[in-house]
Amino acid sequence: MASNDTKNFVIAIGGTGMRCLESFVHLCAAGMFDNKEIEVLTIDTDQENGNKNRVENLVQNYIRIKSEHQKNDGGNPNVKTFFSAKINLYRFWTDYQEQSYKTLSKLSAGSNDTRQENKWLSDLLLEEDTVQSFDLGHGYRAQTHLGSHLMHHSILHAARNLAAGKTDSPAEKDLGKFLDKLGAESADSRVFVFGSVFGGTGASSIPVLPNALKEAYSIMVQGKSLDLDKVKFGSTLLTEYFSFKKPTAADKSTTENSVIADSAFFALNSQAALQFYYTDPTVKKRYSRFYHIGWPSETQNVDSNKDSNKVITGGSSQKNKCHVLELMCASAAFDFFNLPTSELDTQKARYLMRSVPHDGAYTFRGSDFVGPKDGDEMEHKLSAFLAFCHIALAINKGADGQPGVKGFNQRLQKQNITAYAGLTDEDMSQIDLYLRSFAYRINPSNQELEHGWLYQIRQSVGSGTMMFNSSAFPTSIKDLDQVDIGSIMKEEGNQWSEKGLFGGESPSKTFDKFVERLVDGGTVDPSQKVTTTKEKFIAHICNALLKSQNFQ
Amino acid sequence: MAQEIKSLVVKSQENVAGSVGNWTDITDRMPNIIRTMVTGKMDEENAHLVSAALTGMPSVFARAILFKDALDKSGASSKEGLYEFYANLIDEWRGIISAIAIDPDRISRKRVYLEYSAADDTSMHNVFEPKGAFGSALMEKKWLWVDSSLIEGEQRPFIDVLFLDKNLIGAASPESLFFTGVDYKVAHEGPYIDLKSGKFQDPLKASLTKEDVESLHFFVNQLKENWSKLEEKLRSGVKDRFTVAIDYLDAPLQTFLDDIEAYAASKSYDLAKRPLSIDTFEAPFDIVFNHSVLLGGGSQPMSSTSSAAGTASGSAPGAAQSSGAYNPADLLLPEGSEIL
Repeated sequence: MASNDTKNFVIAIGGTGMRCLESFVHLCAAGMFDNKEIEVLTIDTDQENGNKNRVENLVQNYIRIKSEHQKNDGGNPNVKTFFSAKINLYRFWTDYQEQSYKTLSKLSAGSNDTRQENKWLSDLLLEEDTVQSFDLGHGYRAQTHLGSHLMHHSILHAARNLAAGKTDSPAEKDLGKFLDKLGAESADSRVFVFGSVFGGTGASSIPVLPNALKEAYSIMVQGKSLDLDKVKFGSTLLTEYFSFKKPTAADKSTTENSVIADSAFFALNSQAALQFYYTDPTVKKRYSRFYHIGWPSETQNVDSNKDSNKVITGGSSQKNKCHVLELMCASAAFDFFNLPTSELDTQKARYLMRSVPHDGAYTFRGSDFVGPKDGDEMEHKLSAFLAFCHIALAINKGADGQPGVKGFNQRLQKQNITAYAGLTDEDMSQIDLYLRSFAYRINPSNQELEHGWLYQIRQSVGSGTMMFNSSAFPTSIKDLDQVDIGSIMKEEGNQWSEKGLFGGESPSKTFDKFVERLVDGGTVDPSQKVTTTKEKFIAHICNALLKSQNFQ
Repeated sequence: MAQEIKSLVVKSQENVAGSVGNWTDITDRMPNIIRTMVTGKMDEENAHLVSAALTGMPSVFARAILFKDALDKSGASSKEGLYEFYANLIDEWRGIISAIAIDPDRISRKRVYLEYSAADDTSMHNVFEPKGAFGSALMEKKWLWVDSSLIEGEQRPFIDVLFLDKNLIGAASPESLFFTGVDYKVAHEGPYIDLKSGKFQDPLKASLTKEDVESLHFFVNQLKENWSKLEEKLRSGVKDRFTVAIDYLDAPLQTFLDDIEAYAASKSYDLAKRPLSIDTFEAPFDIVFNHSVLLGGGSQPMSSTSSAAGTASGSAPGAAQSSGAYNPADLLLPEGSEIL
């Protein structure tokens, strides 16, 4: 295992990187990154990107849940409980403000010779009418040759502003804080990067990131340097797993939109990118491990999520559903952060992949993500967290916008568990909000069950299975009344459903039994390092649920 | 029934079976996975769009890298996806080589140093300025794009851009000898230009005179004989930073030579040695591209030198002429001339 002194950093880049981060955060919420403090940096070219906003809202809510009332400091790392990792969020985004490559590069500046040379180089390597001209506002549009250059130098540009003390940009300030953390911890630090190799921003940035951060740190903190022989980098090499509508001539009719990512080329882009990642000396030197994750089955068309027929280049409308491969990417980070240090002391990048059972359809178990040793724990923790969701959202009507956690807490008080009476409505509504994003909510506009993260992950495996019994995933509002928190897990030994009058499972009796268990046991242990009322409340529920599942 | 296992990798013809429950090391299998990726076949109508859209290579030097990869993989059996595109690039590569061999006087070169124009004041320069930004984008590869014969402190990354008449057509590259630009268009007629697209083409697909074939044969043979000298020079610059090997150039050059000879045979050309005089390039490329066949004139006894590799590296263009040396090829009568 990694030593306790190892410092962990996560960088999520671009839309796909954000969705991988979403999976990572949900694993943190379920308690898979016990006792860790994780510095998370999001990087995008598109501050309005829907995927980015979704995950940043998620992380911010996670931080609020971890914090004491109104402190918002993210609390402390805990052990063997939900929300056990402490997460600190930093956000960096480029602000190109309707600029193109041409305007950003200032090709018309300088002496005649300089202008001429800059134009030669640009025309040699970047198409003038398209790549040099399109509006960068919505990202690099799968033009990774341009994107890698711009992201690299956008980071340096920010560092220079920071060094000169002339920035008011929250994005640049956040980058500076992240670099400070990385610089301070560089003795034994691990940085895991989430992003795809087939899209735009993530694909562009992964190869340049280690060097860009090193150079930026040197600019920002003059006289000091990041030792990249000690800071270990790992990354996903996530190839195409979704597609979208092919852009029409009308979509590309303006100069600003002359380049639009076309998913028909994703496979070629992936091939070129993998070729690069396998041969480039900088990439091979800077990264210790690449986790290649691809989807050998039919790709998911994401247009079904959208109302408009227009191709979406970015912005708030770009909000794709989650996919099981993103959970696999989060699991790759789990592997990377838990590796013994000796495994990473290599001068040569290693490339890894995962194989899973497929009996006509995917049949995912916890061990398929994190191995047999940790797979059982993953199933128990995710199952317990899903049970917590059902308690708040289904049994106590939190899915419908009602205060579900509060309703549950009131029930506890009726059972004379009054230790948590001091929790505020705000404290509890934050937990409701998180649980809805994890599992489901009832959409107030159409009164339909809207799927959260775990449901979307399960949906992405089609007719296959995702760790738990299918009854654990109610599909309609009517089913919510029948959800049985004791029969989520597959193995009988982990089920704890109570029987009703006629011998069948009785969801309400199971719930009553659970509340009894909270009364009788599940109280927190000092080794869990929980101190605030909220932390104790959450740990108490976690303990009781895991105990119910016979998890040791 | 045995449990079926699926590997979560990109769609590929390579059978990459791993065991369930752990991360399997595929470092050594990556080349085959990449080579046999299922990408679909390009239709002819979309071929140029694919080349434009083929921007998955995350480096501003993608164009140069693709030429290197195309030559490196030229012997691969796969003809799909990227490999189909590679075949187009090799056609262009043959075209630009042919332009230099057949029309050396129309080719000019300009060395652009990849440094910020305001290099003395790093706080003032625009970090996005191509000259400097592209230089920093080279990262570890910087050591391939310098003149390693200079002492390390004086080594500056550069790129030698090439022009046909006044059209920017491409550049010299340490990894592929030459590459063409992303967006050039040449109106000039020549067997190495596809007039419809304005792009370089394999000249063997057009009609070549016996003189053209002889020049081309001579130049390609010279490249084949001298690429290893360039490799040696690159290695001295890169040192132990990473492994440099450009021996993949040998096969496509040999194939080109074979094709030229087959073309000559098909036209019943009896190939004679036609030495070229090319002094366009500076170190480190002079050792492989330049060639002088000079006869000393004036008061000195007439003598000839026949060399690639370095004889012209220190001499400025035109220096040979001013000392009275001349190229014997200039004395040859045009084909079809008759001696009365």
